[in-house]
Amino acid sequence: MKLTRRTISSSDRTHSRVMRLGVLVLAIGFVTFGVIYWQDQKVDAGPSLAGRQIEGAEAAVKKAPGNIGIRLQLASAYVADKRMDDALKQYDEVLKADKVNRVALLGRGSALTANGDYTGAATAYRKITGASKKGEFAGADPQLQEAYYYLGSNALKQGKTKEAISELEGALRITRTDSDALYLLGVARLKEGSPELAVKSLKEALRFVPTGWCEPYTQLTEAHKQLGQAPQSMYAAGMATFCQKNPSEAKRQLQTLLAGPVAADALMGLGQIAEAENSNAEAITWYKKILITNRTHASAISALSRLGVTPPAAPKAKAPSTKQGRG
Amino acid sequence: MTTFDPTPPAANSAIPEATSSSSQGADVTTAAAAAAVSTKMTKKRKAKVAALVIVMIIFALIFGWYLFNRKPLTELPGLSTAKVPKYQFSIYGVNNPLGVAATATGDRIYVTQSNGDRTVKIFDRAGKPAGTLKPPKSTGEAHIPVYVAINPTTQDVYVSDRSTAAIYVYDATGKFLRTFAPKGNLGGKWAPLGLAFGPDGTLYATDIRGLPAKSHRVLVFGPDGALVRSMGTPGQLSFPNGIVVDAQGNVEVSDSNNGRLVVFDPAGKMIATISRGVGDGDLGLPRGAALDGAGRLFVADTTDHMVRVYTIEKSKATPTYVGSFGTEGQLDGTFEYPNGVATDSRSRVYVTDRENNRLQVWGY
Repeated sequence: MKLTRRTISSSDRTHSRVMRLGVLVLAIGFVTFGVIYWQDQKVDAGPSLAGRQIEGAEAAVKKAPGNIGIRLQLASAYVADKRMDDALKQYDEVLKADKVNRVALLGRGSALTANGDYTGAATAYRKITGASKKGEFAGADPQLQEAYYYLGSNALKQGKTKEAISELEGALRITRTDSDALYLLGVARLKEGSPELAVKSLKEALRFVPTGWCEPYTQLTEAHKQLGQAPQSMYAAGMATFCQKNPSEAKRQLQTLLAGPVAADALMGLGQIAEAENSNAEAITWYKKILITNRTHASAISALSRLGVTPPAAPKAKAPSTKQGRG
Repeated sequence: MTTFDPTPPAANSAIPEATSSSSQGADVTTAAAAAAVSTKMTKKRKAKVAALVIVMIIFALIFGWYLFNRKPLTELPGLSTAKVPKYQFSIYGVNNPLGVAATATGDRIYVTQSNGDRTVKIFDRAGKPAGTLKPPKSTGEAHIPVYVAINPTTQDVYVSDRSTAAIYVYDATGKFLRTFAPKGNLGGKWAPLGLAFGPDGTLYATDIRGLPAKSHRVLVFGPDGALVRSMGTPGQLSFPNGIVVDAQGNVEVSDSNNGRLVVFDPAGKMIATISRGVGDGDLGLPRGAALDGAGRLFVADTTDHMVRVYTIEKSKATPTYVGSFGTEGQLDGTFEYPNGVATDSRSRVYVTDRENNRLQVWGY
């Protein structure tokens, strides 16, 4: 019995030693592995691009604190890094020196908008509109246009539809082709309960950016629905589907409209989808189909020209009668 | 002298004490019981040792795999599920970078600069400057290095130069060796752009000679510089940029101005394309391309400001789209006209962010 007990006891000790040794080796291995892994994989990312720009601009401002241009650069770097409060401090410094500095006012408006302070932003933008709307170049002033646009955009966000329409119309008086302003005007008009006017604005916006912009098509779908124009609404929905990267479903939706009142629009949409899919030959076929019924369809002619196809000559306009007297 | 602990192991307390007054029969019973307990304990011990050994083997395998690959543990076989890499850091100090190449270990990263001093900058793995490649004055004054590739057999660095329509060769230490002199009839002048190497040192170069683009092609040179093959029929390619050779010997070329990726088989026959479009995996303006050891193909889509990721499978000619990374912007992990892509064997992906003047390092 003694022998058995001794054997067990000795075996236990050996086992215990082996286990301890194994665990120790494992622990050392883990630590070694951890150190090697950490050294290999550690990444010192350093400051970001915005951080580097801020560092440079801050140093420049320290060197020349009175230089408005450098302060504006610093403020813009802060905005890029989403440090709106720091940006606002810089804009305020600029405005202390130049009360009507329009870059600072626009920047201040933008930073306050980002902070959700629409009232403060409106005050900044109105300083620009108040000072410039009757100026000599008010009809072609991009900063004034920007101020109107953001006033309209912010008013829309706050649900002030009428105010938004007025401001956006102000922006469009300066740049009639601003598709963003046209789109927001469409949204505002739809909210106001004027779907007909909304359709007009949204279509105009889409004339400049016909593909790759989903929101106007979504709004257009709704506007046509409110007007009870089912085919038009379906066309807009089809284009929204295309924009949402589902071209096969969009094609299916548009092909159901080829016999109806929006056939030309549907054909145009099918052509645009084919173009986006790099199937230029198919696109040409769709565009040419439009010209069978409407030989002066400007968008189809323009698309064909873009694809290197000379569109068939439009019927000549009647020459003015030579017999007609001038008096 | 070794001192042993006089206290018997706890397990022994389970053994019934034998008394001197016990009968022989009782002794036999006790011995049998002790033997049974002993067997049970031996089994337990064996199980413990086996468990320890298994843990040690698993650990040793992981350790060995890591020392051999130096990839993040997330890339362990069976664990790797990430489709696209994650942003790690950026290397600054480059001017409108276009092309990039990295050694297999990622210890040397070569970046071409299309602006400023228009040299090729070398960085170490941590992004610290480690030198510059610059052709000698005898090659001319005006240089625009575009793409760069490393010959896997010699470790020489090949740099295509748009301005002088040449490929300059440097050794691994950065010493200029020569201007690559192709042997064979190229059919007139050439203008090399995208570069890639096969595992045996075969050089694949895209050639964008002449305007219009109908003579654009891919040229294949043997390790001795002799022209082996030309790929692309007249008018098929338009400003081919990035080029890679996959494990099957197929050649993937970003046919930039046609907005597509073209796949040629080893004989030069076009077998698949990924086109320009709006669907998943469709391209805008593809430029640089790179392939990693896991068969992932990365294509820099310049105008979409992202890198598209595909996988190359033996059974399929067309690469399978798995995702993309990056959006337009200036923040970390966003791009302004990315152009070149490179990979190393440690699951890192290097992307030149041209208009942000930086090289971004992504990793799995």
